[in-house]
Order: sequence, then C-alpha cells, then structure tokens
Amino acid sequence: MRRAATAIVILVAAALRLWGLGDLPAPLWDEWLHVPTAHNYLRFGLLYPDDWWHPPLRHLIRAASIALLGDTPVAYRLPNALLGTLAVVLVILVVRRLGAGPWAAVAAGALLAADPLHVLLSRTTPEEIAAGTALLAALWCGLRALDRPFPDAMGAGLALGAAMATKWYYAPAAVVISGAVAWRGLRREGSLGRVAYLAGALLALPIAVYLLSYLPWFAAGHDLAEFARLQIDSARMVRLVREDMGSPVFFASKAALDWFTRPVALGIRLPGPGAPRHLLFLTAFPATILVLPATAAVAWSAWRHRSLARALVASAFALTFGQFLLLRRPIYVYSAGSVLPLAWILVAVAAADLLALLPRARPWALGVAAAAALAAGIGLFPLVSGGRPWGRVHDAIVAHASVLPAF
Amino acid sequence: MTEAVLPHATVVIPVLDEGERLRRFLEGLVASAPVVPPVRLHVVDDGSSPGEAARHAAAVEEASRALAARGLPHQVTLQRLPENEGKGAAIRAGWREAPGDWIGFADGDGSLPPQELWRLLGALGEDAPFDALLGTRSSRSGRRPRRSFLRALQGRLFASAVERLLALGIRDPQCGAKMFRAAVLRPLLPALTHRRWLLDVELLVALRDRGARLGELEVDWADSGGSAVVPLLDPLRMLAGLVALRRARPRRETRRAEVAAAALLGLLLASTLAGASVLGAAGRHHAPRRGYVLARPSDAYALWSSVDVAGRVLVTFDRRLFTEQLPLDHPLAQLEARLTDGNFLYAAILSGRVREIVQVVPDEGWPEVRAALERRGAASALVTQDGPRLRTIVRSVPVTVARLRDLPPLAEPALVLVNARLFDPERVLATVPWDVAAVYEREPQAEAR
Repeated sequence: MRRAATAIVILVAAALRLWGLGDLPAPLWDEWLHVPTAHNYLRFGLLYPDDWWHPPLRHLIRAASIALLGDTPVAYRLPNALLGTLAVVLVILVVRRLGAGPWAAVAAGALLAADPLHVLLSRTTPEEIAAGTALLAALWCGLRALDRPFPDAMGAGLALGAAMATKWYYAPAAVVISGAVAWRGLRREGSLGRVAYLAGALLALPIAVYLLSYLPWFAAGHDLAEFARLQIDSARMVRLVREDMGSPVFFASKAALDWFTRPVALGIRLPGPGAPRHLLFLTAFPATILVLPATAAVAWSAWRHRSLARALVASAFALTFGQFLLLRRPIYVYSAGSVLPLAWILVAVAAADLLALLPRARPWALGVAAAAALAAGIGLFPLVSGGRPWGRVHDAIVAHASVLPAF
Repeated sequence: MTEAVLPHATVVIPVLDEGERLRRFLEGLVASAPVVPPVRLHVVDDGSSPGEAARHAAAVEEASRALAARGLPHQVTLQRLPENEGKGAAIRAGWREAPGDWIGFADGDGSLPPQELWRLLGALGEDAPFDALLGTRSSRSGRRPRRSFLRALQGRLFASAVERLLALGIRDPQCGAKMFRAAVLRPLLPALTHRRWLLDVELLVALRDRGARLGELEVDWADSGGSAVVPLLDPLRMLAGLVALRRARPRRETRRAEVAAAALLGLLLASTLAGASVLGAAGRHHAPRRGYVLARPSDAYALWSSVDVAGRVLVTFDRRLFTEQLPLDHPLAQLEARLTDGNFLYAAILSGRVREIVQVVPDEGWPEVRAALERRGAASALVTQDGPRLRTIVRSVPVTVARLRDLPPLAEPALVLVNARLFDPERVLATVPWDVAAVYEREPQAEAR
C-alpha cells in the first residue's frame, strides 16, 4: 500500500511536470533570457543576456538539453521538469531518512508534487528547480554521511557544488550540511586520513564542480585572477539588485514572510484568442501556513532528541529562508521555489510527530492528506500550466491574482 | 504455541539465576501481548543452578501455555547452556538459529517493563528508517526510567567512555533492549567475540563501521536490583575492553579508501585549476603584430574577424563607444548586418572576440564619462572604483574606464583601437603592449592637436 502510494505520488509529480510541456510557445516568461544565454554560454562563454552575476551550471544543463533534443520549447523546459520530479523523489528519501515513517514520506512527496508554484517552476526555465534539487541531493547524501562518511560525503560534496554552481543562496545551507558531516565524521575518527578525506569531499570537490561549471567561460580566454574578480563583482551585484530592476508583478509579494503567511497569486496573462489563459504563481495556501510552525516543531524535536539529522533539515530551511526575510526589498515570488522542498519535508515530519502523540491516530492519516494535496494540485494545474480556467474556484483565483500581460 | 506462523522477530532473553523475576517478566509479556506481529521470545538460560534452571523452565512452560490459551501467535522457547558463559555468549547462542526479520535481546530480569518491549517491537517494520532500534533510558520524551543513583551514574560514566573512545553517537549503549534487522545482523555474527557485557558495544561498533542506521527509542525502565556486575572489577574490565575495541576497530580498508579518495579529490581540484588556466590561455587567439588604419571605428569588427582574434583584451582610446541602446536579447546576426560606431563593441563581445575592455578617455572627456557611469551605477548597473579608474560590466564583460595616465598594467598584448583625433597613436602604441592595432580619424589629428 505504502509502496503503491509512493509510486502514485511520483507518477503524479511527473505527469504534472511533463504533461503538455511543449504546448505553450516559446519564449515563455523568462525563456527569452534563459535560452539565448544557454547558446551564448556554450559557444562564447558569455553569461548574457541572463543575469551575469549568477553561477552558470543552469546554462550548461539547458545547452545540453538543446543539443540533445533540438532548439524546441520541450528542450528548454525538460531539464526543470525532470529535476522537479527528481526533487519529489529526494523529498521522499529525506523524510524516510529522518525516521518520520513511510506515510510521512508519501505526504511530503505529495505536497511537493502538487505544489502549484513548484509545478509552474518545473514547467518553465528558472534555476530555482535545479538548485533546489541539487540541495536536496546534498541533504540526502549528507544525512547518509552522518552515519557513513565514506563514500556518502563525496555525494554530498558533489551535490553541494552543483547547488552552489546554480544559485548562491544555498551557501548557508551548504556550510551547515558540510559542517555537520565533518563534525560527525571527525568525532567518529580524527585521523589525518579522515581529515583529508572530508576536506576533499566537502571542500575540494564542491570547488572543483563550481569551477567546472565555468569551463566555457574560461575557454573564452579568462584566467583564474579574472575568475576571482568575477566572483567579487557578482557578490557586489547581488547586493545591488533592486525592486526597479524586475517586473513589478513578481515583486507584488512584498516580503518572503508572505509566502508562508497569506495566499500569494500573481502572474502573467498569455496572449491568444478565446478565454484568457494565465501562468499563475500560486502558493499552496492554506497548507503554507503550516510551514513556520512545523519548522519550530522539528527544531524543538531535534533539540529534545538530540537529532543532528532533524537539526540539519530545520536549519537548512531556516538559514535559506532567513536570507530572504532579511532582504530590505520586495522579493520575487518564485524565489520561494528554493525553499519549498525543505518546507514540505518539515511539515510532513512535524505532522508525523504530532500523530505519534495522538493515541488514536493512524499513520495512514498522512496518506489521506497526501491524496488531498494531490487532488488540489491536479485541480489547480490549468492555472499554472497556461490551460483554460474552469469553474468558480479558478475564476475567483484569477480575479484575485495580480496579473500582467505576457512579456 | 502456533508453530505454523513464522515469527516476525526473535527476542533473546538471557537469564542467570533470575528467581521469580523471569516468571513475572514473561507473565507481563503474555498479559500485554498484542495480536500481531508474531514474535518468538527465546529464553536462554546461561548455566543457572539446577534449581533456578527448573524455575526458568517452569516459567517458560507457563507462559507458553498462557499464550496458547489466549490464541496469540507468539512463541516462548527455552535454550539451556550447560555452563555459564556470560551474557554476551548467551545472547549470541540464542541468535545463532533465530528466525525472523528482526533479531534482538531484552534483559530477563524484568527491568524493562513488558509493554515497553512490545512498544519497541511495534516500531519495527520493513520500511523502518533504521537497521537497529536501541532502547534508551532517558526521560527527555516523557518516559519514566527509574534507576538508583549509583547505577545511573555508572551507566552515564560508561556511556561517556564509549562515546569518548568509540564515538558511536549513542546515548545509552548498555540499555538491555535492542533489536536489529536480521539481514544486517546475521553477517556480523561470526565476527562477534565478546562473551560478557561488551557484546552490545562490539556489535554497535561493527554496525557503525558498516554504515548501518541506528535508531533510538526512549523506554521506561525500573531497575530490578540484584545486578550481576561486580563493583570496581567489572567496570575496570569493561574499560579495558573498550580500549581493546578501539584498538581493534577494523577500519584499515575504509581508511585506505578515504586516503585514496582524498588524494583523488585533491588531484581533481588541482587538475581543474590547471585545466582552467590552460583553457583560458588556449581561448586567447592572437595575431601577427601589425597596425591598421581604418575609415571608422566600426570597421575594427571586420578587421578582428579577418585576423581571427578571440578572447582578447581590447584597449580603446576614444570618448564613448557604447552609445547605442539595444534590447538585451538583440541577436548577433542582426548586429553584424547593421554595424555602427555605437554598437560594434556589442558585436565584438557577443562574438567572443573580446573578453575585457579598457576604455581610455581624454582628460577633458573624463568628467562627462564619469558622470555617465555614475548615472549608470545609480540606475541598476555595477560601477566600482578601482583606484583612479572606474569599472563596470557591459553585456557580462568587464569594462574599465580610465584616463591615459591611469591606464592599468596589461599582462598580455591587447587589441588597440585609437581615435587619432584624440590621442597620439605613436605615444599610445609605445605605452600599451599590442598585436593588432587600428587607428581611425588619422588625417585630422594634426588639426585636433
């Protein structure tokens, strides 16, 4: 039963991300930036016209997809669709590793599989999906490495390198994961060989992966001193990004706290004849209001049970989300995609803990919650995939959303 | 007894002259037994005296009958060792042929409340996120372990010693209730040697070293008294045993693999750094040193294409050359079809000919250029001060803007493009290392001066 439920969750996740992937014409949303940059980067090492200050692994992934499948919308979007599905699998594995039970894993997987914002981001081209999936892989390998540093710490290092080579905002989480694996590994054995191994796995390997993602840039004639200068310039530029540099619609969410405290619905109206169609960036409200209490509950349980694994997940979420909270400017709503996998892990773990305290509760109650989440996700699918809205609920959501014409 | 049903788990209960405690423990287990899953409770008598052995056998018989009367699928069995061999040896003897997906042990003195053993067993399952579930006498999650001060202190000291010497990350390594996934435990059994108190620790070390997942479950506990531990002597023996375990920890293979991995990862980083440098050098295409005279600056693009330079530093000597505003996604092919003096540098960037630009402006033009850059910085772009120079990024390429006297040192020959109306080409070309130099507006330079 639990295996069947897990399989259903993964299948639904794949279906919501892959179904009709090439139906909407390109460029969709930011594809007008992402796709030419993939071409420019592979050919000339140019980080342009997309934001040059973000690391370039995503351009390589997209360029590889275009090389394999041709210059088509499906090729642009397929990497995110596959990585978004993989994120659901990794969420299931992480929750199982945390000891919350198979039904909690099913619930976490279902919450992410059906999350309307994650579905939309997985069907388009932003880097939040690749970065988030890489972090989840790092987290899963890191949790395994707490018990067995060899060879799992290398998996963690590889995935951390990939995460950092896609988006910088996982740096605090990367430090925490590396630190926890190193601390536990060295507590077990403080030999020189172990120190060297952990330094190699958690430092040399991520740095190598990060550098490798810049190979086309180096091939354009740059040297290591220029690389260092680019990193410094990028760090400066990240701090310069301002509200007036992007489309106001995506800044309509005034603060990251909104993502987990109130409904957020904004997006773009797609051109075309007939009834208007939209690409709506929706948070999974009201389930989202569980995220912050769940984080506190898991952090409390980690402290109470001295569980480094749980502390790791809670702190990875808190540190990543905390950066967005501390920003002194409105924030793009799709940045929420970076923390959604961690958020749903925490909600499922906290729910499983809560159920364990209730004498009459049954673990499969989480399966019921998972089924409800999947149903909601399927119901919202037209709004996040550019389909035609149907029914009053869709009309009400569209009516309350902040919507701009396509650009 | 229900022989037809294979037990899901086997719990070995080692006993030695337990008196009435075994009977009470088994009675409690039978009374609180759930219907499923089937469990085999396997009592191993570790060479008790004949009278005590008979009492143990009677207790087992009685429990077996009670289970059958209640129609429960569990089994209670007895194994008698002819001589006292130690708790560890008794447990290992019980495990040797033990059936079930999970195998473990529980102390036979009844210190573990019977319902707690069932709770521990209830947490086991195929999908359990651990390979071993270890009872932990802790009050952190609302459990109620009752231990005498001396025993609690002794246990705490022992746990600290285990952690200090073996770093297992286990809070209560000596708790007398542990269950192991049979598929993980069975391959380890031949390697286990400890016959007395340290079997648990020896096993936990083996599990840790093989990457097994260890789970902990807080349990109630009530010391039954009558410990078989000899004060002072046994703790010393145990400490010596721990030191021996630490020394014998079979890690050589893992250590070799870790050292080899460390060497490979170091090599990977070094070769990536070296490869990046080599690739960077290979990406800079130079040309035979030669000067050219151009009709207008945008002709430089055709020149650079014809001599096939790429990945180069360009030093321009003019006021402003990025004068045309273009959309971000303006394609190279369109640019090449309509090159102007205001956009040809974009084409040079987008075609990979130029990787960095140094723009030298005449002293009299500096305030205007500086103001323009500051406006750009105030809008959205990165503009930084580099000594007396200003730096910005155009189309992802760094652009340094400076006066001639503040020209940054160049580590390689550059492409040079000189507006002869504003700068003396001879002086410029004597100042800057170059291989392809182009001059435009050459004729009127005398007038300009």
